[in-house]
Amino acid sequence: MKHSLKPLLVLLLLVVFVVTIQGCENDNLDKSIDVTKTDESSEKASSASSVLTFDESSSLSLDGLFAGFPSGNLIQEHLKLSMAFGKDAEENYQRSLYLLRKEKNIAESLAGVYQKIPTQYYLYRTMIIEALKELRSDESLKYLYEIASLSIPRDTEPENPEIDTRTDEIIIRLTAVEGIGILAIQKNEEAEKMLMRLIDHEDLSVRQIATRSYLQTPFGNVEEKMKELYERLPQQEHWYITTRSTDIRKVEHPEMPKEFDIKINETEDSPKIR
Amino acid sequence: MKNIQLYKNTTVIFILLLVMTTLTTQAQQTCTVPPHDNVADGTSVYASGLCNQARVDHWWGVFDMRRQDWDSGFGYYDPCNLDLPLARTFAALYLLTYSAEDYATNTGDYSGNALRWAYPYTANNTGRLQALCYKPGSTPGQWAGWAYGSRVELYIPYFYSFDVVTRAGTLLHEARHNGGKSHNGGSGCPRAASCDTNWDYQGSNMYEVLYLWWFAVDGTRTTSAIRNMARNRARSVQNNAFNTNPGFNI
Repeated sequence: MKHSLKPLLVLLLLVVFVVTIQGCENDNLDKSIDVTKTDESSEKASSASSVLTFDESSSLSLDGLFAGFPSGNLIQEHLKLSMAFGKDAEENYQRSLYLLRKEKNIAESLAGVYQKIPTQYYLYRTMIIEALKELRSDESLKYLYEIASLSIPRDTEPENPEIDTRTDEIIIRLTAVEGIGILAIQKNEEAEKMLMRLIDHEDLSVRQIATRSYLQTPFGNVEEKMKELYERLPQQEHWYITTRSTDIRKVEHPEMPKEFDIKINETEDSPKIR
Repeated sequence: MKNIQLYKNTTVIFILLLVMTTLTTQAQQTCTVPPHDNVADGTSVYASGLCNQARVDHWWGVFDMRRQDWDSGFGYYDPCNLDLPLARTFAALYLLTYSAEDYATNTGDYSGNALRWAYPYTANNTGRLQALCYKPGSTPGQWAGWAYGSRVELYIPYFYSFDVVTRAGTLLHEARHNGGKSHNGGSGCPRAASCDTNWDYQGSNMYEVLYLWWFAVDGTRTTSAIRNMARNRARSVQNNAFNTNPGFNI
């Protein structure tokens, strides 16, 4: 019996050794967490592996959504070009915008597509509003205002501290405000009144851009408008009462090292393109 | 005496099984690719750029990527397939690498604006880049990524809930954590999570805003639509991620 116990004891010692080593590694990782994420969970890193599967629910296409709208194909193609990459990207995008502007009732179609698109496609939604904005047409105004004036919905993923869908919604609102600003600068009085109303929006970024756009319109005297805003807005928000944007070159930047060790790991197991 | 010996043996076997079961349970995660549209999140436009063996080899070496971290469905055997996490990560790295007109040609070049140093900085501060279903010990879907000091883990929400520009910015953000800066503002900013106290702290939020802002000002090989989107994201992050608002008019 004693002899049969020995291999088991050796095996047990081996397991204890492995567990101890893992514990040490995790301890080291914990120290790293202290350096980088002191305000967050100190949960131990794991050497867990994952298995990812792809099933029929994984594929999704929004192609069908566009088919129901006049100019649907043109809009879909424009959205793709608006997100394109490459040296011809901007040229192709501008050409597409030119075609879009010539299309009849295009603002209404864009607004229709926007209403139908699932909420979580924030980039697509932003690009639709960007298109409405870049039409630079009075026809877009009511749709832009409808979107800009909406409240920011609650974060749909409150359990995920790193994903804040309010940011995505704010980006959409800001794009709409910019569109209204363009029309106001083109001397659309209704657009200027809308900007005035948006200065009371619940979101700081919307108030900020509405304020700057309002001050940039050709209506009224800028100094008088600024004076009015100083009285209207709380003192802690007076910093954005300006017609000018900040020059990024004058903003404090981090110091970057001039020399350092470059570490490229030697590897032979990189994935091979078929 | 015989009973005592039997008892000892049983105890040893029981402990052994317990330890092995614990280890096995901890090691295995499973998940499914969620519904997604590669056009709608901007991923597909980078398809031609990322599918290049030399680039793949470069990123693989720089980010200390390993087969065991990216196989089992994550894309190791199909690195150009934008439905899978590996290619979606390469798309973000492609954007990060080539945002500047005169992009850095090696990871030692920190000169120029944020568009130039964003990639070298990320390359030199990330460490090992790994893919997992979710952060071990957390609820699946709760986190998009986690910086551990010498490595970064990326989870399903990173691959499928972020558009490609956000994924690029997130890599820089996580690299800044590994570069030595945790979020230090608790929940004291308007978004009440992942806050930095102020701009002078030079944390991840500052790096993210600078990258997005420079992308809007000077980004190249992209459209003015995407640059405008980046500017608006920079505005929103500035106004929501700092306890003391930096007060820039972006």
